[in-house]
Amino acid sequence: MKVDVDKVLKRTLNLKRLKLPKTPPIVELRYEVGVDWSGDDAVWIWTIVDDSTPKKDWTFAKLTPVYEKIREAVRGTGLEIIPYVRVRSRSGQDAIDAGKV
Amino acid sequence: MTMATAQGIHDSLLDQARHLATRDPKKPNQANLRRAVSTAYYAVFHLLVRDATRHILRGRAQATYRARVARAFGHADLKRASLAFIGGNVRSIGPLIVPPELVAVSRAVVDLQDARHLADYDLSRRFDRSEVLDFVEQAASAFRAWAKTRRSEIADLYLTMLLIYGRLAER
Repeated sequence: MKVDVDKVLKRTLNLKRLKLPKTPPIVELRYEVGVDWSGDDAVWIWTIVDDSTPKKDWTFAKLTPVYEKIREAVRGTGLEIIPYVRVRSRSGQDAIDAGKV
Repeated sequence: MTMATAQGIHDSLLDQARHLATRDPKKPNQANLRRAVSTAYYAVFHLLVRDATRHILRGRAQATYRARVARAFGHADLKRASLAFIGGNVRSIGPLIVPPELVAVSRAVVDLQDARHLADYDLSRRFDRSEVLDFVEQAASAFRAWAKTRRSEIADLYLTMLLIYGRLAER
Protein backbone atom coordinates (compact mmCIF):
# COMPACT_ATOMS: atom_id res chain seq x y z
CA MET A 1 0.00 0.00 0.00
CA LYS A 2 1.50 3.29 -1.08
CA VAL A 3 1.95 5.63 1.84
CA ASP A 4 0.71 9.19 1.52
CA VAL A 5 3.87 10.83 2.87
CA ASP A 6 2.37 14.28 3.01
CA LYS A 7 -0.67 13.06 4.93
CA VAL A 8 1.55 11.24 7.46
CA LEU A 9 3.81 14.26 7.94
CA LYS A 10 0.91 16.67 8.22
CA ARG A 11 -0.49 14.56 11.04
CA THR A 12 2.92 14.11 12.70
CA LEU A 13 4.23 17.67 12.42
CA ASN A 14 1.40 19.12 14.38
CA LEU A 15 2.42 21.54 17.16
CA LYS A 16 -0.30 20.38 19.54
CA ARG A 17 0.58 16.71 19.05
CA LEU A 18 4.34 17.15 19.31
CA LYS A 19 4.36 18.80 22.75
CA LEU A 20 7.66 20.51 22.11
CA PRO A 21 9.73 22.07 24.90
CA LYS A 22 8.35 25.47 25.86
CA THR A 23 11.62 27.31 25.26
CA PRO A 24 12.04 28.73 22.74
CA PRO A 25 8.35 29.07 21.91
CA ILE A 26 7.70 27.55 18.47
CA VAL A 27 4.76 29.34 16.88
CA GLU A 28 4.56 27.37 13.66
CA LEU A 29 6.10 24.45 11.78
CA ARG A 30 6.66 24.52 8.06
CA TYR A 31 7.89 21.61 6.00
CA GLU A 32 8.79 20.61 2.47
CA VAL A 33 9.26 17.12 1.13
CA GLY A 34 11.77 16.32 -1.57
CA VAL A 35 15.04 14.64 -2.42
CA ASP A 36 18.30 15.85 -0.95
CA TRP A 37 21.61 16.48 -2.69
CA SER A 38 22.66 12.84 -2.59
CA GLY A 39 19.35 11.39 -3.73
CA ASP A 40 17.82 10.49 -0.36
CA ASP A 41 14.16 11.22 0.39
CA ALA A 42 14.07 14.15 2.77
CA VAL A 43 11.79 16.49 4.65
CA TRP A 44 12.96 19.99 5.56
CA ILE A 45 11.24 21.28 8.65
CA TRP A 46 11.43 24.85 9.89
CA THR A 47 10.60 25.70 13.45
CA ILE A 48 9.30 29.25 13.41
CA VAL A 49 10.22 31.27 16.51
CA ASP A 50 8.58 34.51 17.49
CA ASP A 51 10.90 37.53 17.09
CA SER A 52 10.14 38.69 20.63
CA THR A 53 11.91 35.60 22.04
CA PRO A 54 14.92 36.72 24.11
CA LYS A 55 18.31 35.84 22.55
CA LYS A 56 19.27 33.70 25.55
CA ASP A 57 16.28 31.45 24.85
CA TRP A 58 17.04 31.21 21.16
CA THR A 59 20.37 29.42 21.03
CA PHE A 60 21.37 26.24 19.26
CA ALA A 61 21.64 24.54 22.65
CA LYS A 62 18.04 25.49 23.48
CA LEU A 63 16.80 24.44 20.04
CA THR A 64 18.57 21.06 20.04
CA PRO A 65 15.95 19.28 22.20
CA VAL A 66 13.21 20.75 19.99
CA TYR A 67 14.93 19.44 16.87
CA GLU A 68 15.46 16.03 18.44
CA LYS A 69 11.80 15.74 19.42
CA ILE A 70 10.77 16.51 15.86
CA ARG A 71 13.25 14.02 14.41
CA GLU A 72 12.01 11.39 16.83
CA ALA A 73 8.45 12.03 15.68
CA VAL A 74 9.45 11.63 12.03
CA ARG A 75 11.38 8.41 12.85
CA GLY A 76 8.26 7.15 14.61
CA THR A 77 6.28 7.31 11.37
CA GLY A 78 8.46 4.57 9.86
CA LEU A 79 9.00 6.68 6.75
CA GLU A 80 12.44 6.25 5.19
CA ILE A 81 13.08 9.93 5.02
CA ILE A 82 15.83 12.15 6.43
CA PRO A 83 14.49 15.01 8.54
CA TYR A 84 16.47 18.24 8.25
CA VAL A 85 15.26 20.48 11.05
CA ARG A 86 16.16 24.14 11.22
CA VAL A 87 14.86 27.44 12.52
CA ARG A 88 13.51 30.68 11.15
CA SER A 89 12.30 33.82 12.78
CA ARG A 90 8.66 34.79 12.32
CA SER A 91 9.68 37.96 10.49
CA GLY A 92 12.18 36.03 8.37
CA GLN A 93 9.53 33.53 7.33
CA ASP A 94 7.08 36.35 6.56
CA ALA A 95 9.69 38.09 4.40
CA ILE A 96 10.36 34.87 2.49
CA ASP A 97 6.62 34.29 2.00
CA ALA A 98 6.21 37.84 0.71
CA GLY A 99 9.08 37.44 -1.74
CA LYS A 100 11.00 40.24 -0.07
CA VAL A 101 14.14 38.15 0.40
CA MET B 1 53.93 31.13 9.97
CA THR B 2 50.82 33.06 9.11
CA MET B 3 47.96 33.48 11.57
CA ALA B 4 45.71 31.34 9.42
CA THR B 5 48.20 28.46 9.45
CA ALA B 6 48.78 28.70 13.22
CA GLN B 7 45.06 28.85 13.86
CA GLY B 8 44.17 26.03 11.45
CA ILE B 9 42.02 26.49 8.36
CA HIS B 10 39.01 25.03 10.16
CA ASP B 11 39.16 27.68 12.89
CA SER B 12 39.58 30.45 10.32
CA LEU B 13 36.58 29.15 8.37
CA LEU B 14 34.40 29.12 11.48
CA ASP B 15 35.42 32.72 12.20
CA GLN B 16 34.68 33.63 8.61
CA ALA B 17 31.25 31.97 8.77
CA ARG B 18 30.39 34.07 11.85
CA HIS B 19 31.62 37.21 10.14
CA LEU B 20 29.55 36.60 7.00
CA ALA B 21 26.42 35.70 8.95
CA THR B 22 26.55 38.94 10.94
CA ARG B 23 27.54 41.36 8.22
CA ASP B 24 24.81 43.63 6.86
CA PRO B 25 23.29 44.60 10.20
CA LYS B 26 20.09 45.91 8.64
CA LYS B 27 19.16 43.85 5.61
CA PRO B 28 21.07 40.56 5.34
CA ASN B 29 22.53 39.96 1.92
CA GLN B 30 21.64 36.49 0.55
CA ALA B 31 25.12 36.05 -0.91
CA ASN B 32 26.73 36.63 2.50
CA LEU B 33 24.23 34.36 4.25
CA ARG B 34 24.79 31.59 1.71
CA ARG B 35 28.57 31.84 1.95
CA ALA B 36 28.24 31.72 5.74
CA VAL B 37 26.34 28.43 5.52
CA SER B 38 28.81 26.94 3.08
CA THR B 39 31.77 28.12 5.15
CA ALA B 40 30.30 26.68 8.35
CA TYR B 41 30.09 23.27 6.69
CA TYR B 42 33.65 23.45 5.40
CA ALA B 43 34.87 24.46 8.86
CA VAL B 44 33.55 21.15 10.22
CA PHE B 45 34.74 19.25 7.14
CA HIS B 46 38.31 20.48 7.46
CA LEU B 47 38.34 19.94 11.23
CA LEU B 48 37.47 16.27 10.75
CA VAL B 49 39.65 15.72 7.70
CA ARG B 50 42.61 17.22 9.54
CA ASP B 51 42.22 14.68 12.35
CA ALA B 52 41.45 11.85 9.96
CA THR B 53 44.66 12.42 7.99
CA ARG B 54 46.64 12.73 11.22
CA HIS B 55 45.12 9.42 12.31
CA ILE B 56 46.20 7.77 9.06
CA LEU B 57 49.60 9.48 8.69
CA ARG B 58 51.13 9.91 12.09
CA GLY B 59 54.24 11.89 12.91
CA ARG B 60 55.77 15.10 11.68
CA ALA B 61 57.52 13.38 8.78
CA GLN B 62 54.18 12.48 7.27
CA ALA B 63 52.78 15.98 7.40
CA THR B 64 53.71 16.65 3.78
CA TYR B 65 51.44 13.89 2.54
CA ARG B 66 48.39 14.74 4.63
CA ALA B 67 47.16 17.52 2.36
CA ARG B 68 47.22 15.10 -0.57
CA VAL B 69 45.44 12.33 1.31
CA ALA B 70 42.86 14.93 2.42
CA ARG B 71 41.73 15.15 -1.22
CA ALA B 72 40.50 11.56 -1.01
CA PHE B 73 37.68 12.43 1.39
CA GLY B 74 34.32 12.65 -0.35
CA HIS B 75 31.20 14.39 0.90
CA ALA B 76 28.95 11.41 0.19
CA ASP B 77 31.09 9.10 2.34
CA LEU B 78 31.08 11.66 5.15
CA LYS B 79 27.30 11.69 4.99
CA ARG B 80 26.88 7.91 4.92
CA ALA B 81 29.35 7.34 7.73
CA SER B 82 27.80 10.11 9.84
CA LEU B 83 24.26 8.76 9.34
CA ALA B 84 25.50 5.33 10.41
CA PHE B 85 26.99 6.72 13.61
CA ILE B 86 23.86 8.73 14.36
CA GLY B 87 21.85 5.54 14.01
CA GLY B 88 24.33 3.55 16.07
CA ASN B 89 24.73 0.87 13.41
CA VAL B 90 27.79 0.85 11.16
CA ARG B 91 28.00 -1.45 8.13
CA SER B 92 30.48 -4.35 8.63
CA ILE B 93 30.86 -3.38 12.29
CA GLY B 94 27.33 -3.72 13.64
CA PRO B 95 25.59 -1.93 16.51
CA LEU B 96 27.66 0.59 18.42
CA ILE B 97 27.14 2.74 21.46
CA VAL B 98 27.96 6.16 20.14
CA PRO B 99 28.60 8.87 22.76
CA PRO B 100 26.38 11.96 22.47
CA GLU B 101 29.33 14.17 21.52
CA LEU B 102 30.06 12.03 18.48
CA VAL B 103 26.37 11.93 17.56
CA ALA B 104 26.38 15.73 17.69
CA VAL B 105 29.40 15.92 15.38
CA SER B 106 27.84 13.43 12.97
CA ARG B 107 24.56 15.34 13.03
CA ALA B 108 26.41 18.56 12.24
CA VAL B 109 28.05 16.92 9.20
CA VAL B 110 24.70 15.73 7.83
CA ASP B 111 22.75 18.92 8.54
CA LEU B 112 25.43 21.36 7.42
CA GLN B 113 26.22 19.36 4.29
CA ASP B 114 22.63 19.56 3.17
CA ALA B 115 22.39 23.24 4.03
CA ARG B 116 25.64 23.94 2.18
CA HIS B 117 24.40 22.22 -0.93
CA LEU B 118 21.22 24.27 -0.92
CA ALA B 119 23.09 27.46 -0.16
CA ASP B 120 25.56 26.93 -2.98
CA TYR B 121 23.27 25.55 -5.69
CA ASP B 122 19.57 26.10 -5.03
CA LEU B 123 18.77 29.76 -5.56
CA SER B 124 15.07 29.08 -5.08
CA ARG B 125 15.82 28.49 -1.38
CA ARG B 126 15.99 31.70 0.60
CA PHE B 127 17.91 31.98 3.85
CA ASP B 128 16.86 33.81 6.96
CA ARG B 129 19.63 35.23 9.18
CA SER B 130 18.37 33.37 12.25
CA GLU B 131 18.58 30.11 10.32
CA VAL B 132 22.13 30.86 9.21
CA LEU B 133 23.26 31.88 12.69
CA ASP B 134 21.87 28.59 13.95
CA PHE B 135 23.96 26.70 11.38
CA VAL B 136 27.07 28.59 12.46
CA GLU B 137 26.31 27.81 16.10
CA GLN B 138 25.83 24.18 15.17
CA ALA B 139 29.28 24.16 13.60
CA ALA B 140 30.79 25.80 16.71
CA SER B 141 28.99 23.30 18.92
CA ALA B 142 30.38 20.46 16.77
CA PHE B 143 33.90 21.83 17.33
CA ARG B 144 33.36 21.71 21.10
CA ALA B 145 31.82 18.25 20.95
CA TRP B 146 34.67 16.97 18.80
CA ALA B 147 37.25 18.31 21.26
CA LYS B 148 35.64 16.15 23.96
CA THR B 149 35.55 12.93 21.96
CA ARG B 150 38.36 13.08 19.41
CA ARG B 151 40.85 11.00 21.42
CA SER B 152 38.47 8.09 21.97
CA GLU B 153 38.64 4.76 20.13
CA ILE B 154 35.22 5.25 18.67
CA ALA B 155 36.34 8.59 17.26
CA ASP B 156 39.23 6.76 15.57
CA LEU B 157 36.71 4.38 14.03
CA TYR B 158 34.58 7.33 12.89
CA LEU B 159 37.54 9.04 11.26
CA THR B 160 38.42 5.84 9.42
CA MET B 161 34.85 5.39 8.24
CA LEU B 162 34.78 8.91 6.85
CA LEU B 163 37.30 7.73 4.27
CA ILE B 164 36.21 4.17 3.55
CA TYR B 165 32.48 3.95 4.21
CA GLY B 166 31.57 4.03 0.55
CA ARG B 167 33.85 1.06 -0.15
CA LEU B 168 32.21 -0.96 2.65
CA ALA B 169 28.82 -0.30 1.13
CA GLU B 170 29.95 -1.91 -2.12
CA ARG B 171 30.79 -5.21 -0.42
